[in-house]
Formats: sequence, C-alpha cells, structure tokens
Amino acid sequence: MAHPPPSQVTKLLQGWRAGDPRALDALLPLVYDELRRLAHYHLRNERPNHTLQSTALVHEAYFRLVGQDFPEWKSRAHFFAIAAQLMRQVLVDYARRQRASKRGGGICTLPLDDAVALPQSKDVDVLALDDALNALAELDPRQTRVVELRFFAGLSLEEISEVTEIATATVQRDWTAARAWLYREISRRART
Amino acid sequence: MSSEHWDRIKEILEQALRLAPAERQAYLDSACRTDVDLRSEVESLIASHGEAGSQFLAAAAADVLQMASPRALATGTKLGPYEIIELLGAGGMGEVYRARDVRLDRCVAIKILPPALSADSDRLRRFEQEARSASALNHPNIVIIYALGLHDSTHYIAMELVQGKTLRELLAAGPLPVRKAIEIAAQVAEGLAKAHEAGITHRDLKPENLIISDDGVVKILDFGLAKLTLPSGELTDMSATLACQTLPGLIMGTVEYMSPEQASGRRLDFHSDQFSFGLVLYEMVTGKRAFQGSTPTEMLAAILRDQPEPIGMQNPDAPAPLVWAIERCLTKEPDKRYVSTRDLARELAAIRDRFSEKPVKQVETRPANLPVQRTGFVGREKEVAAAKELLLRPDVRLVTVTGPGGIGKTRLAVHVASSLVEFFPGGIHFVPLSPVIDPGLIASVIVQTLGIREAGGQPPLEVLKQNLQDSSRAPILLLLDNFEHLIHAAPTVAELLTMGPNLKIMVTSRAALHVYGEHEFPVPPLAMPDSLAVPPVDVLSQYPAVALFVQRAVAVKPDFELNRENAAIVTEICARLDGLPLAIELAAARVKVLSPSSMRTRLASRLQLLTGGARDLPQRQQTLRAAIDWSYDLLSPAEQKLLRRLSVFVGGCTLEGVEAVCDTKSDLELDLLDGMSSLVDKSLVQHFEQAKSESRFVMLETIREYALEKLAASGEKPLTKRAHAAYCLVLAEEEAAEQSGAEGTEWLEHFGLEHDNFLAGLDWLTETGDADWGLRLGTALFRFWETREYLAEGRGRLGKLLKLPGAAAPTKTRARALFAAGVLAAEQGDYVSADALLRESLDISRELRDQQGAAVSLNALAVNARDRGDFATARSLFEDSLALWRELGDQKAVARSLSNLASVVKMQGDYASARSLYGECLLIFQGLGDRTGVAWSMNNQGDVAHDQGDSATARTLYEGALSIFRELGDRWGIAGTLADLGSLAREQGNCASARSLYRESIKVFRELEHKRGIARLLECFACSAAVEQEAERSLRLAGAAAALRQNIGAPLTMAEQAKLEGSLQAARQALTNTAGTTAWLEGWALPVEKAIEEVLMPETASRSDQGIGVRNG
Repeated sequence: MAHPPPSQVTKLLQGWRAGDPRALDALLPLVYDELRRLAHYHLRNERPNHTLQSTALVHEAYFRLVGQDFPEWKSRAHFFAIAAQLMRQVLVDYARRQRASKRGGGICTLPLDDAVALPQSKDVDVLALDDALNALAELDPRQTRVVELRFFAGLSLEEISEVTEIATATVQRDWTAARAWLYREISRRART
Repeated sequence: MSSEHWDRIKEILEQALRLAPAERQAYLDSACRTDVDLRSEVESLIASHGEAGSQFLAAAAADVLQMASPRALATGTKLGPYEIIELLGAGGMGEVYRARDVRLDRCVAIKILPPALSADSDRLRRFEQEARSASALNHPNIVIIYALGLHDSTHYIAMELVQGKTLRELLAAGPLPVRKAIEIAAQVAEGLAKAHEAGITHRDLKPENLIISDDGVVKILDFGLAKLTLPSGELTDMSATLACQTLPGLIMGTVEYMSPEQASGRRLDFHSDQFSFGLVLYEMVTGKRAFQGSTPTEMLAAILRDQPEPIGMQNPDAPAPLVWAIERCLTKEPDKRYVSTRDLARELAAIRDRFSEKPVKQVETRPANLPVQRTGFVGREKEVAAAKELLLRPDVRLVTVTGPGGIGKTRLAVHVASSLVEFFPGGIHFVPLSPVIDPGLIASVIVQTLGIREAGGQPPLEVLKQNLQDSSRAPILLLLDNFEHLIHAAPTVAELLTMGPNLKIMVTSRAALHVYGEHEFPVPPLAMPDSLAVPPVDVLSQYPAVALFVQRAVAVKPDFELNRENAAIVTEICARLDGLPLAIELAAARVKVLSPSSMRTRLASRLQLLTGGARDLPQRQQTLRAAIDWSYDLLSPAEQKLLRRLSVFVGGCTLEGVEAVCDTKSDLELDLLDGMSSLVDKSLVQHFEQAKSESRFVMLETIREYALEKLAASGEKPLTKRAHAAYCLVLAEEEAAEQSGAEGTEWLEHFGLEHDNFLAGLDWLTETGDADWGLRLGTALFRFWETREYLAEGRGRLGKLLKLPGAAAPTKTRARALFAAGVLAAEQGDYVSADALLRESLDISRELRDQQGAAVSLNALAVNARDRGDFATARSLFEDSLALWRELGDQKAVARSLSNLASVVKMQGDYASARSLYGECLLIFQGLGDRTGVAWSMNNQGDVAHDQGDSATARTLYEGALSIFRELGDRWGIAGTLADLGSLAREQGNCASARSLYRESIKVFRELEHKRGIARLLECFACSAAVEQEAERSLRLAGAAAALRQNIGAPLTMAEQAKLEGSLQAARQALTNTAGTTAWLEGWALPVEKAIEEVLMPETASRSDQGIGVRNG
C-alpha cells in the first residue's frame, strides 16, 4: 500500500482538531490500514524472535503516517486516541480470524483441551474482552477509553493521563475499577 | 445503573482496595451504610479484583495474540519415529497433531505437552505411570496410548487417532437426543468402570475429554493427565486448588466438572469421577450445566452447596431411571454415590438396552399405505424378481425405477413394494409427488405421510432427520412416486439417505436422479411376440403385452376372446404400441366399438410398425403420445371438453366436483354421468369406490398432463381453474362450518381426500393474486391443518397469502387469516410470531368493531401467554375476552371464557377467585340447560378444592359431577371424575377404595381407547402402590405409563412430572437404585394391555405382590 504523504495526515489531524468532522472520516481509514498492515506484519512472525509491543506498533504507525515533522504533542495525543480504538478493531479482527482458522481447519479429528483455544496461561481472550468492553461502554465510556489506551495501544497510565488530559489518579481509579468489572463480566459470560 | 452511582462505586472500591482486607468490612459498613445493593456490588468487585490478580490485562493485546498463535510444527517434522502431518488443534494442554508412525505406517495423534506442564519430572513420572496403566487396560472406550516420548526437550504423547467429534462439540447444538445421551453414557461408564476396577481415577472427566468416533464408539481421553495439571489430591487444600485455577476462561472448564471433594481439596477416589460423570450426563440431557457460578470461586461454592435444578423440569423425555442415576452420581457425599462404578455401568447398559427398543406399541409392523391396484398385475415376473433382489441388497439404498410415461413404473414399484412388507417392519410408505409443485415441500410431504409430528417450528427435513437417524429404528421403505418434475430436488433424496442406515428409497421417475448411490432400474416394455411370425394362440396369450390387451378388452366387452382370426392383428397392435402398457390399455378399451382390424387400420396411420429392435426412449414417448392422441380424437367434442376440464383436479374428484367445475355454465351438452362412464370405459379416467364416502374419479398423471396441455390450448384454462378454486372454496367453507358442530373425524377424512385439490386451488389463487378468495380458503383449511399438524405447511401458505398486495386491507377476512396463522404459529411453539399475528388480528377486529373477532383473538393471545408461563398476562387477556363476550351476550362463550380464566387463576394459586369463577360458569351452564357444562364446572371446582386441601368439598363436588355424567352416559366425564375421586381417596390413606375407583376408571378409558387417560391411570396406580409399599410394582407401572406416554407423544407437564416423582419417592427409597431401575425398565417393556391386566387383577392376587415390596423395604 502506498503511504499517504505525511503532510496529508498532518493536515487531517489539524482539521479534526479544528472541529471538521470530515477530517476524522478521512483520517480513520488511513490510520486503520496502516495499523492493520503493521500488526499483520508483526503477528505473522515475519520478523522471527522479535517481540512485538503494542506501544511500538502505534508509535511506528504514528511515525510512518505523521512523520517527525509534527512535534506538537496535542496532535500526538489525538492520534493516540483514535489509534487505540483502531488497534482494538485490528486486534479483535485478528483474534477472530485466528479463532475461525482453528475452528474451520478441516476435519477436526482430535479435541482441543479447551473449546476456546485462545487463552494461554496469563492471557485473556481478546474477543471476550471486546464484548465485555462494549458492555462497559454503556456504563462508563471514559473507562472504556482508558482500557483501550492501556490494553490495545499499550500506553502507560501516565501516558494515558497525558493523552486524555485526565488526572493520573482518576485514570488509575478508572483502570482499577474497569479491570475488576471486566474480569467479572468475562467470567460471567464464560459461564453462560 | 446511573453514572453517579457508578462513580460512587468506583470511589468506594478504590478506598477499600487501599485498606488491608481485615479493615475493609468496617470501611464498607460506614461507606455503604444501609444501601445493600451498593455494598454487594462493591464486594463483588473486590472479589473480582482479587481473582483477577496482577496478571489480568497486564500484557497488551498484541503481545497476547502473538503468544497465543500456535507455533505449529511444520509438516514433515520428525519426533522419534513419528512424522508430523498436520495440526489438528491447540489448547491449554498443548497442541495435537496428526502424524504418521513411519515404522508401522499408521496414523497416530501426537499431543505435545507444554513445557510448563512437563517441567516437574516427578509429576511427569506419575502421569506416565497412570496413562500407561489406563491404556494397558486395552478397553474399547479408553483411548490407547502408544508411547510417551521426549524429543529435543519436548515431551509428547503418541496415541490412537480417533476420527470423530468431542462431546463438547456435540453439545454446542444443545442437549442431545435422549437415546444418544444414554448410548454415550453407557459407553463412558464401561470405560470408567474398567479403569476404576484397575484402581485408576481420571480426575478430569469433562465433555472435552470424551470423543465420539464417527462410527459411534465413545473414547475417554487423557487418563492421568490431570496428574500433571492439578495439585495431587492428597496434598491440596482449597486455596491451593484455587491458586492455580483462577483465570477466567482458562481452567474454568476444569473447575466446572470438579467433585465437591475435589473442590474442597479433600482426598479423592473413583467416586470423584462418578460425580464429574454425573455433571457430564446432566449437561447431555438438559443442555445446561448443573451448577452455575460466574467465577471459579462461585462455581466451586455452588458445587459444594447447591442442588441442581431437577432434570425432569428441563427435559421431560429423560426416562426416570436415567434421572435417578444422574441424581445418585451428583450426591455430595462420595460414599452415597455408587459403591462401584460397575453397578452404574450395568444400570446404564440396562437402560440403554431397554430404551433403544421402541416401546412395545411401535414395534408392531406398520401397515404399508400402498395404493390399491384396480386391475390384476400382468407379466413382469422377471422385472419384479430383479427389482426385489436389487432393493434387498444390503449395499443398495436407492433404486430409481425409470422409463417413459405409461410404461408402468408406478405399478411395478407398488407391486415390488407390496411383496416386501415383511422386510420393512418400519413400514412401506407411498408418497405421491405428482401434486407437489414446489421441490421445497418434498420433506414436508414425507413428514406428513410418515405421520410424524412437527414440533417447535423445526424445518421438516430436520424433523425427518431426528426420526430417521435412530439406528434402532426398524427398516423402512419410502416409495417416492412421480419424481420427474422435481428432479432439481434430487439432492434432498441423497440427504434423506444419509439420515439413517435403515432407510431405503424407491423412486419412480421418467429420468434418473443422478445422485450418488443411485441404482437405476429401467422398466422395459411388455414382452411381445414377433409380429412377423405369430405363434399359436395359447402361446401368444402368455405374452404379457397380449395378455394385458385381452384383460382390458374383456373388461369392456366380456365376450371378447383371443382367437385365430384376431391373434395376428392383436399382436400387431401391441407391436405398433411398442408394448407400452398404457397405450395398450387405451387401445383395448376401444374394443367395444372398434373391431381389432379396424383399430389396426386407424392406428396404422399414426404409428409405424415396430419391426424388430428396441426403440429408444423419445420414440416410445412419441408412440404413447400418438396413442393418447388417437384415443382423444375418438372422443366426441363434448367428451373432449370434459376430459380437458377434468385436468384441473389434482388427486381426483367426486362427481359433484365434476359437475361444479366442468359444467359451470351448463355448456357441456353432455350428461355428466354418461360422459364420465364413457371416459372410464376408455381407460382415460379411473373410477374408485370409497368405503365411507362418495366414489372418486382419478386420472393417470400422463393423461392428466396431456389433458392439461389441451386445456391450455383451448383457452379455457383460466376459467376452469377459477371454477375449480371457487368449488374448493365453497366445499372447504361448508365443511369448516359443519365441522365446528360435528363429532368424530368425518370432516377430517373429507378434507384429507380433497387436500391436494385445495392446495392446487390455493396455489392458483396465490399465483393470480386473488387475496380475498385465497385468504378465505386458507382460513377454512386452518382447523384441518391444525388437527393434522400440517403446521409449517399451513403457516407457510397463509403467510404467502397475507403478503399478497390485495391482502393488505384491514378486513375481516384478513383478521381471520391472521388469527389462523397465529394459532398455527403458537402450535409450533413460535410464541413471538404468534403474538404478533394475533395482535394484528385483534387490532383489525377492533378497528372494524368486530367484537366477536376481537374476543376470539384475545382468547388466543391469552392461551398463548398461559402456554409460555406468563400467567399474569394470560389472566388479564382472558378477562378482556370475557368482558367482550359478556357485552355480546353469548352465554355459552361467556361460560367457556370463565372456565379458561379460572384455569389460569388456579395456576396462579388464587384458589378463591378460581372457585368463584367456576361457580359463575356453573350457573350459566345451568341457565343454558347444558348439563355436561355443569358437570365439568363441578369437576373443575372439585380440582380447586382438592388443590386447596379441602377434601370434603372436593369429594362432594366430584360426586355431584359423577352422578350427572352417569345420567348423561358421558363416559369421558365418568372416567375422569372416577380417577379424581380415586386420587382423593389415596391421599386420605384409603388405598382400597382408591384402587377400586381407579379400576373402574381405567376400564372406561380402555373402552374409549383413550390412551392419555390410560397412562394417567397407570400413574395413579403407581402412586397408590408406592403408598402401599409395593415398591417394585409401583415403579414397574410408572415405567409402563412412561412408555405409553412416549408412544402417543403426550409427555407430562413439568409440574406433573415433579409431582409424580414426589409420589414415587417412597418406592425408590424402598429399593436399591439398581432394583428400582430394573423394575421401571420392566414396566417400560411391558405391553400396555399386560399393564392394564396387572392393575385389574383381583384383589387377592394383586395383594400377594406386597410381600416382595415389604421385603425390599
């Protein structure tokens, strides 16, 4: 895929900040495509022995799309805000495909130990989390944003505070409550 | 929850988490004060926070996904002697591959153990030991382990490769059919019993570890693997158990199937597997987990503390002994479960053996429904023998009898089938497809022919599948007649064959279906002598073609005989007609007026003489066409007109029908009766006498097609079709009106005979967009559809009509059709659609101020609400309906409405209101002089008093009702009320009196052949035997009643089931589980007549049973 010139993305970010809704409409697919391309590249293990980090991925996308010629941190914050949401989409799609390929991989002759094969020891089922997040959004949209930035974009709590302009203590509180709430929700859903 | 509320929760949660756990209670006391909801929410979140630990959501999403993606071994990778072929699956316990053992050249499954699990060499050794010893048992229900290997620090297990599905996969579609569940259970129990006898416990039995191979063998996987994952049973305490199992979605699966002793970390033995097995069984039968909990902690608490919801409440089809076995496995105390798993296996095997048999009634040979042939079957001995042999070959499942129209496919197939009755005890079912236009309806027609009940709006193909799947079903033969116009639906036939091994299909069709497994059986023409060298007369008459000619000729001209003069001519005629039976019949029928020689002359102008060598198919079709043309041309113009018009009838007609449709304008210039007998004489129409109703005229499909073509060419088709539709409408509406008052099933038979005509009429009305007539005809047919349970078909057709552009107007007609569709939907259990349809019907009736229509719709809505358990809504709807009937002043309807209302009020437990409603109902019936109504009202009032525990009043009311029923000679009322009185006596401890009342009642039910009543009485006897400590007899009768209910498709409601179980409790406790099961299964296998004989046995004989009961008690 050809990259849009950095200036175009920069302009769109500025336009969006200035309140032009069309700018966001144009921006989203650009960022989404870039993130998806990067994620795909990393997740397919095309670079063996390289550990992928969400943060790195978003930073890389930012660098590719916006370039280094746009130092204004506020725009960077805005970029992360959408990037986190889009990362969620990218990764959920990825998880879904991963699951589908396991389920539909020809005639299954031997059982899996778990019906859902995704989660490994310390992990969470990304798809289940996605569902739970949708439920959380109805209760508290801000918390959902925090989780997206933390879990999907890989930002630290401080970075989140910077990007969202919410006090770190509040971010911390949101994160703690969201974690407990999501854990309970996922467990409940796994039961039914 | 409001956002303010949520903010408050977050604050308190944060504060509480900062505190040491010990200080939290005090803080919560002050922070939440009396707000219980707030407090429980915060506490629940604190608990989740704890369970989530520090790891939950600690890694970012991308990293999670990357870790989870399986690092699959590449094809060709070598692990010792094994070569990886492909990845089969991956999970928490490692990946599983298909691999080849290069030494033995066989396929195996290779499971790679995750490094974390195989790190502990001590555990690994214990696992290995146990896995090997389980495998060494060499039991068909235990997966065989070939080797445990180590390759480059990767531990792997090589084991038997099983082609099939896990139980988890099977359960994804909901509960299993009970028979299948029993089959699986019996096999798992066998495997478990064997392992337990060898001292091996599985410890992690769950649906994921049970695999059902494609040929139905169940294998238990992963014996001993639990030793790698679970802390050893001897050492654990609950916190340790939890510590390694607290991540959601991960080990939850294992927690769910833990026994209480596992959950509490106590020492465990084989009894623990019994509990886990019980949980698996519970899930198979109900489709639900026995214990619910949203987190592992809650789950474990539920296992330790809760009682599962009774199985009978969720699946009334589960036979009592199976339920008992599951309950026993799920006992909390290990030593109250089965002393040995072998006992459990034996019980399940006994249940399987009995239950896989159809209950006694259904083993009877079902009569074949083959059509009666009007004339003798001529010739074809060789073909019949060959077709029979082909059909009976074990590898042949589908035979298609092919040939051109008129060659005699149907007759041959029917003749073959009728000689095979003994080989198909499951029945031979003739399915005439010529009236079926839509290929999508084939399955539905078959369902109807087989007399299977449609259930819950399932597609007919699904219903068939469930019925045919059963491998224990007796062999069955379907004869699908006249398939040629549905050839696109050939895959449906192939799909039917995959449904059950005991199904064979014979099809008649002009062309082969070309599906896999089809064996084509082309029907040759009748054998003919060589027309150039005619043999002597006695030899000649042996030739089937000639014999058929003579037979048909004698039928119209009794003095006809084959002699030296006409022999050569008859032979030539048969040859010219290619030996086609239909053509020969048409020709021979003309012998009355044409001598064979003039017949030959006339035919010769149309047909070239067949001079040696067979003609190909198109030529034969031409021959037949020419023969029909010839026969048609010989008719008078009036007869031709009549024949053409007759073609609009599908599935035959009565003389009245002919009159109404074919001579609407009296323009036929022909006496109808004469005309019809002439057509019958000429073999163009067949005449059937009916036992109970008017005789019918039917055309062979080949001739009907021809006549229909001529009708279209004459330009009369639309008018005649319209006349046909009008006739159908009048007939259906008249019958429907009479039916509402009529007793018996005569109207059903009438509707059944004319059903194909009605459907053809409906099709035409739908096609031409005549909404008004269409809706009326559909509505008139609705009671028939409802009674015969053609639910999907009826609903589908009404749905199409309601969507017609002309049907949109809010008319009375539309309201009635909506009502009909709504009732059919409710019968299918589709309450949501039913509600919507009935609501619209109600709205229209209200708009039109049609009070009666509104009252009827309200009543149907109420019944709907009651059936889905929403009593409050039902009550208010019944009240609305009642109010309307009162306004209308229709006393009878008011009384019925009161009775409906009372029934739901009683279900709500509002006995006082129920009684007074029944009281009012009674007064109205009295006013109307309706004695039957009075008696039923008294009986109903008696039921209320009975439920209230007011035995004295109940008795008075029942006795009052009984004496009226006796006066009226109403045997249904007598039998029912006697049973009520019997139960009253039983509850008061007067068993002798109860028995004698029950006896009188069951005798009447037997006379009435009322099976539901008989089943109810057998249950009554079972309950009274339980009270009298005749435990075995009690359970035996309960088994007999259950078999009967299963047979007639009349299960108890869940509440009734629970009540019965309660009454039988004493009997079950008096016996060991196995003895109870044995007794019940004996009853299950007992023919109903024997069961009735047993309960009717004279007092002394039946009392002698008591000794046994007491000994066991």
